[in-house]
Amino acid sequence: MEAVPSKLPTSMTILRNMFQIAEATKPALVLSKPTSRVRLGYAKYLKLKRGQDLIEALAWLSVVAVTAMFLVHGGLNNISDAASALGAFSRLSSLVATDLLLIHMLLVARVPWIDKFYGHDKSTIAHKKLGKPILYLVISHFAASLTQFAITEGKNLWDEFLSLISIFELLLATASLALMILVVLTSIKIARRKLSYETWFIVHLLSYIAVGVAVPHLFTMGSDIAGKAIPTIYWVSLYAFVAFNIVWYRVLSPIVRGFRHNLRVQSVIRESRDSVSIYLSGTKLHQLGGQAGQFYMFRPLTAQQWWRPHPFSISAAPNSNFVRFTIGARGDDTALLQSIKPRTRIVLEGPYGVFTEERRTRERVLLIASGIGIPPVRALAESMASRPDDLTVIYRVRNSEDAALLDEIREIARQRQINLHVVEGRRGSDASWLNWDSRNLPDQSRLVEMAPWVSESDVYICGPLEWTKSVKRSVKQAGTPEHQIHSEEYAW
Amino acid sequence: MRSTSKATLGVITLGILAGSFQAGLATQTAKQNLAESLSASGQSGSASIDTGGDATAPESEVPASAPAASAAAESTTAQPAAGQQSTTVQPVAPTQPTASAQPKPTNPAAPSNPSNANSGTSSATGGAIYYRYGTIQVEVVKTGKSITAINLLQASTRGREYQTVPSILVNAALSAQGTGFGNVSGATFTSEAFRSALESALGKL
Repeated sequence: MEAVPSKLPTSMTILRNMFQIAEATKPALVLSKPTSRVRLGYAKYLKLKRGQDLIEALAWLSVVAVTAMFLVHGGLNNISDAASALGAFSRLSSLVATDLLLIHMLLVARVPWIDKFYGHDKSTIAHKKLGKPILYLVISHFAASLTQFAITEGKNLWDEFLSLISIFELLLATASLALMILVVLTSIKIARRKLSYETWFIVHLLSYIAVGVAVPHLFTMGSDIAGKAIPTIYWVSLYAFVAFNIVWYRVLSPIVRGFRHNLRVQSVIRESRDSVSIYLSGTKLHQLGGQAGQFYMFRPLTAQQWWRPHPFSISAAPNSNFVRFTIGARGDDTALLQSIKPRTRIVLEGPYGVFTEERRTRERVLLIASGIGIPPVRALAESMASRPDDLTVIYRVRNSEDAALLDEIREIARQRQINLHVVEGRRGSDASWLNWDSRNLPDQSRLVEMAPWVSESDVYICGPLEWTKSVKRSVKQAGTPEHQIHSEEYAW
Repeated sequence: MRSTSKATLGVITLGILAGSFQAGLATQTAKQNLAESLSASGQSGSASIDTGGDATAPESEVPASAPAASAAAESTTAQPAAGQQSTTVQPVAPTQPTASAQPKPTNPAAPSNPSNANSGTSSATGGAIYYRYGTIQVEVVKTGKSITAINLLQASTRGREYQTVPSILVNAALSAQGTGFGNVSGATFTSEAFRSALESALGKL
């Protein structure tokens, strides 16, 4: 009789066991050859910084350029009263807003030349930060020009508004503003928590329409663009450049590559109670071009999931035989992926991310992972150039009997002479990122115990956001400079 | 961004902005100078124009419409629905500095009358300027140094809601006494075409 309440879990266990029987057995571990040469040193970091500074300077200068063109055309010369001041303000705010808007879109176009310098997460964060200021600028452009026209024509704001939207271009521009407000409202934190990803995503797609329908009024009636040669050339090329990057890198390139590599699920191997490895096979895999530590947007071409790609890191170093992802059941889609059928077609977008050896500047490396954060660390442990004892891996698991890829990590550590520390069990305290320890030492001391050279190592951290923050704190306390600490979050 | 890069960029930015502001001022001054020199040459030429109406307009296709004063009234009272024609310059009723200075002032209501060849008054018709929304051609009347009237001979605009733009521009040009006026926002093409038409007419004086 006791079996009744536990009926559901029991049947699920049976189901799971059936799957385990049905699933292919794990292939023998074949490691690819690690990197043989790697450039190290502070100069490498400086080079990266120079690249970042260049990109930031270009972005900044594009704003300066539109302001300069505004000034050259006498934007501030004829200010004599409230109306002309509002007019100048309205023009300048619209120019700056449009320029920033294009940068804002470029930041999420997953453009390789941005990703290479910042990583997908940092550019997404920058994108989020820019959203609201741009909206404020667009709103002030709207309000200022409406007021300016109302003053010069002696109408009230509402009548003026009605007369303005009787012009088709301005009707479109007003629609664009309304869409922009909607997009920003659905993207602020409170709304994001309540909305599903899908709703947010569809609303966000509207932002492309918003940007598009604002274009006509810019070129036909924009006082600083229409009929002026240099500004017209500037804006047309800026729009064309951004459109090219978005269309190619976000739309066409994934489709082209999807066909070229013809990726399909080869087999699904259970790694732990709640994670599986998905092996993909395809043609010309060596041309996929990823590095250990990077991730792809994983898009299964099934009826349910084709429009919802998810980011997953490859869990084995790139090789010409297979691409492997190790995926934990964390939500609706990842749960579905646990039982994805072999032969399913997959489109991969990417590779993205800078959680790679490209960022390494020191000889010694410490890799720290928690739970399902292990895939990129597993791939890095396999591929990073190292002499014995250069690499240290700390793997935080709840239960070593049931941890994804643990056996593989052990085998890699044995073959490559990596120091491996498996940290198992419940958390020591709420603030701790390590397990409970009878000695009651602070995390920092235990970190130094496991990795004595932490202050002169590159430290790669992959795990849940809060946990990662806590690890970073310990690593910094241990004396590792900021630029040697690498972590990425899955920002969307 | 590193602090040195930031500082460098900041200095460059200030330089560019200051430079372009200067350039903006210079362009405007140049325009004003051009207008002034045009009006100066207009005056020196006025002696020879004095006697005859050699620079008078040919019979216009469109009757010389909307003299400045009534145009001003139009632009403030008879605005059609669309708000496109608001200006960066205020429509100011044209000042007529010549009215008291000249014994026989040109009446703005009938400035293009070729028989009205008073001393110091001259008029000229500029070339027709074709632009994306049609043609603009003006006749300009000068008394002494000042432009006293600008008549629209042809003034097609983009559409019904832009009809008052040319008269607003006339007022703006009269207040600026030349081509140094700002564009009417939302009517950039019309403004530019009008400016060229006015330049052409002033050049013929």
